[in-house]
Amino acid sequence: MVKVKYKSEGKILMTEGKLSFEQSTEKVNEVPLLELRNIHKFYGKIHALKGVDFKIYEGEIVGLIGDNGAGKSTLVKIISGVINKDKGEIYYKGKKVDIKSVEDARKLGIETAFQEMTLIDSLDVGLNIFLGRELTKPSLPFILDYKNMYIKSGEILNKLGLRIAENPRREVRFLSGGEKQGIVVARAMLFKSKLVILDEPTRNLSVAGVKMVLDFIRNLKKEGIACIFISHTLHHVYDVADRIVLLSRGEKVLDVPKYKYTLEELENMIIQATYLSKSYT
Amino acid sequence: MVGSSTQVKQKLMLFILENVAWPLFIIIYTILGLVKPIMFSPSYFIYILYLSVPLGFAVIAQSICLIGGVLDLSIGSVIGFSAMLAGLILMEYSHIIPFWLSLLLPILIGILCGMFNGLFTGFLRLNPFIVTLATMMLFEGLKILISGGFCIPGRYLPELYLLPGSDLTIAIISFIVISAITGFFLKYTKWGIHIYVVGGNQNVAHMMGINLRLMLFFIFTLSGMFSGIAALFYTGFNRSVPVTIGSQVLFPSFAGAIIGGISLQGGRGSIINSVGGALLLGVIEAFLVTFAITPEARIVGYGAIVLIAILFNQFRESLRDSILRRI
Repeated sequence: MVKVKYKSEGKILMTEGKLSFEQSTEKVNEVPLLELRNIHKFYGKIHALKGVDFKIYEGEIVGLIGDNGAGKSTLVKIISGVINKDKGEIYYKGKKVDIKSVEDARKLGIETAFQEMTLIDSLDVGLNIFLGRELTKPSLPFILDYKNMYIKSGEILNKLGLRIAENPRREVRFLSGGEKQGIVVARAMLFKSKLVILDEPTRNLSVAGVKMVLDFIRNLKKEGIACIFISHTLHHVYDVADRIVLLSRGEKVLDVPKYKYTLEELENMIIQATYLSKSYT
Repeated sequence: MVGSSTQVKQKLMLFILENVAWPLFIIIYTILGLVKPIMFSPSYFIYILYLSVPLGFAVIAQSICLIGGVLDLSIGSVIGFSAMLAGLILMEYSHIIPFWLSLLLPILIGILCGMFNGLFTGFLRLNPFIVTLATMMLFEGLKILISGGFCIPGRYLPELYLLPGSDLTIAIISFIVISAITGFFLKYTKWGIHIYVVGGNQNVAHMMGINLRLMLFFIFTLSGMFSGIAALFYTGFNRSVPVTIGSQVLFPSFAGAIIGGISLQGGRGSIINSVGGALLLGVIEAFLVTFAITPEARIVGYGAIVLIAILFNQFRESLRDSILRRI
């Protein structure tokens, strides 16, 4: 169990004539699990990230939102080691680290499900789930353990309620968009670590699929796993997030704990932050 | 019960489509055998197997590249260069080089050539088509330059060096063993399956933490290694190192791989089937030789075979997809 200190401060709400006290979930006096300071990234002449600060605590769910091209994907790709930052520092549990590759990120326990379907169409479901981390036989560490991989894939897909669980040998290109997204999420579930990054996990999913992903994120929190949840729509994020972070044109323009605001208030703030260059950090 | 019988039919159909090189080999062998009944004799069959061995290694080299989503135009030249350089070294120094090292010599040279390709395509990320086009000319030219335009006759080479390629049994058994190991390696080891991943989608491979540069380097190194092995067997097969060695291997190497069902899009195919493709080419080659068809006409024939193979493969894949979609 992860022990979390909460600020004993909250907000008194008046609903239907009853007073209620909403407990704050803002954490204080704690070292963030991951902290990024002043991150810059250039793509040629385009300044994709302009000095972004970002932090996430253990077991916290951060909803990262923003328009296309706001820099969300760039930010998470830097965290997961796919691309390298041009400037800035990354701290893991207060210690300065250098994430240069996907391997580095995985060693820190960072698992990412990318927005681009990171699947190989010509390979089967089982191999895709274990892509880059294939299981090998315990006695012969050079030989792949297909049987075990298929069993484990079947189990995890079953948990997600996906029909493809029956046939983990099926080639991925014959699957529907939702099933493909399911595989990406299944991968994050299987290799759950300290921090799971889900880049648009609800895209292409049915209503039931979205619910499943949101439940999954809640389960992560229960197990003390932090999660960065990226989405276009505030609504999906609002359901589960502890904190909302908004990027706009490569800058962080909003970073607020969710409990303080209603959905409507947040929507207004997002519009103001995005289009009127107001800052709420 | 009706459902299960169609399922069985579908499974059978899939199996045939996935391993189509072998049924095709049998069919074409039978047809050509009916034209020339001598082809049905066991010794002739063994001869065809033997004939296919050197080309078979080249087909494996090309197959690995195609599975990895790249193509290697320099295979023939690497074969020629490593055969020639190894031949020249052995001609001078065979008395001080131990037997096992002499066998490894062309393979080592092939590996170095492959690493050279891999350096540019893998670590410098240059286009494999252009790089191997350049090295194709480079190694071909070097081969002719170092040979001085002369053929190395077999009598100047150690007998044991020629043995694997010239002895029917050794050649065929080595080919079966090496291709079985390669097929197993590709499907059942991490590095092997990562070749499929890289061939399937380079971006995804990179994002999933596979070292793309290293894998491309590795693919070309493997290709070079198999070209080196092919050089050893070509030398033994010819019992000499002619200046033209390896010059006409590139196209058949493609043809064999494609007939064997290796997808040109990368990420798909198996070595067992490309071995079937190589044997099929061996049958056709043997048939053409028995009919004393001129080398020029044979080049025309190979061009036609590559074209037919690509067409056929396209058809085969769409048929396979339509069955898989229904299952």
